[in-house]
Amino acid sequence: MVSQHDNDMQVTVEDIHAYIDGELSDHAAALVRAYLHEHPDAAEVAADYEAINAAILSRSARADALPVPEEHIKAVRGRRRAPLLAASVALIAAGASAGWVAHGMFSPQTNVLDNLARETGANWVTYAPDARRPVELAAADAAQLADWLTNRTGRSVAVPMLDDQGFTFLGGRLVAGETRPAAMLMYQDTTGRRLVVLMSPEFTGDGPTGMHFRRQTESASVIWANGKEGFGVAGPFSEEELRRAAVAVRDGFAL
Amino acid sequence: MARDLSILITEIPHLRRYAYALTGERDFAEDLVQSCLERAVARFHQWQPDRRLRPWLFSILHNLHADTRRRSRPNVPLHDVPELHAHEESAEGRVDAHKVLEAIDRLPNDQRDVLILVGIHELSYAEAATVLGIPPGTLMSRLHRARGRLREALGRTKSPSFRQVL
Repeated sequence: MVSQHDNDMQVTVEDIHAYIDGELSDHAAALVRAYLHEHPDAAEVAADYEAINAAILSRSARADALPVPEEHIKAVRGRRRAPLLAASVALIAAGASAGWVAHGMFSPQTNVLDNLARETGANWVTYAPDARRPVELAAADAAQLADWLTNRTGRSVAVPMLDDQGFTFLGGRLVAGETRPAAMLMYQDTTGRRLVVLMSPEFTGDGPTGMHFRRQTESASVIWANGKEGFGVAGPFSEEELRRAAVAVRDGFAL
Repeated sequence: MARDLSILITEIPHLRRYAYALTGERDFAEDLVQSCLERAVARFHQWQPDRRLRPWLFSILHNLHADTRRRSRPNVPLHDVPELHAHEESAEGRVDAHKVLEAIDRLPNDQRDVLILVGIHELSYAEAATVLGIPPGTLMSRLHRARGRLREALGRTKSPSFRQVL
């Protein structure tokens, strides 16, 4: 193990492995880092180990780039939930017709959340994969974008900064809703995965709904409404990542 | 009352990363994840909630993968594993990811399993050892041998020996 006495540092090969794999304490890692700085031969070994990991990670990263097969979700949700899933698909197909609501399966609040999840997911599917023009106005024109979206949606649109959550702001655009337009903002993390934020003046709920997580086919979303606006954040991220982003978006819009 | 299975959903991205790294192939990877989830649902009562879920799921996936490997081709005796060629060094010592992956796929299974499970950075060494059912010391020595062998494949002439003080 890493040991240090009288400035005579002892670093073993095991330490190099552990350093590359993030197994060391901050203190021990700092010692190894300093050692590598002084010993080019050992640094070359460490760089090779790191390159080997990078090659492996390039394979695992493909999983994040490809949509999650629906069968995976079904394997977990099972038959017990199947009627509910089928019903929500029918609900979307029927455009939330009165029949289903009268059926008593869905409260209006559930409806709002379903709508927000669907709209946010649809915007992610449409715009996030667009390599050339994912947004209409880029981050450099953030002020102009905010004015445009505010003017068209009738809601005060601020651009929340999500850098602390690991997302860089790319830009945004006005997007179609069912009866009135909504605001879409886009962000990107360091691996190129994109996060879509939707603010809808249409699906607003009767009051605060709380935040809800939904897993969709190609992405997941966290959605909520406050009675005045509805919100969604969506992308190929974990629930935890989306919730962190959602909180920052909520706070950003509340300012 | 059945325990809430929905926590399995949040593990799906991690399982997929592991499966893609293991197989390097989409259909096979998704099949593995699917079988893993089905088995996890059926055996969910065996998971002890005081332990982390991810290692438990990863060990299911690892076992499924090992089963598939056993069924699909006979165990290649170690001495029949083709030697990696030292002359395949890329220009100016830069590491070519494709060459590395090729070499990884030619490692003995026990070394490859360790290298990949550690390399995807989803688990600690201790957890990885549990998943593979080996002592931590064995994990370390296999990891070292795997990486040493890959360095040879990259044309590095000498690698430090295990436990060597640098």
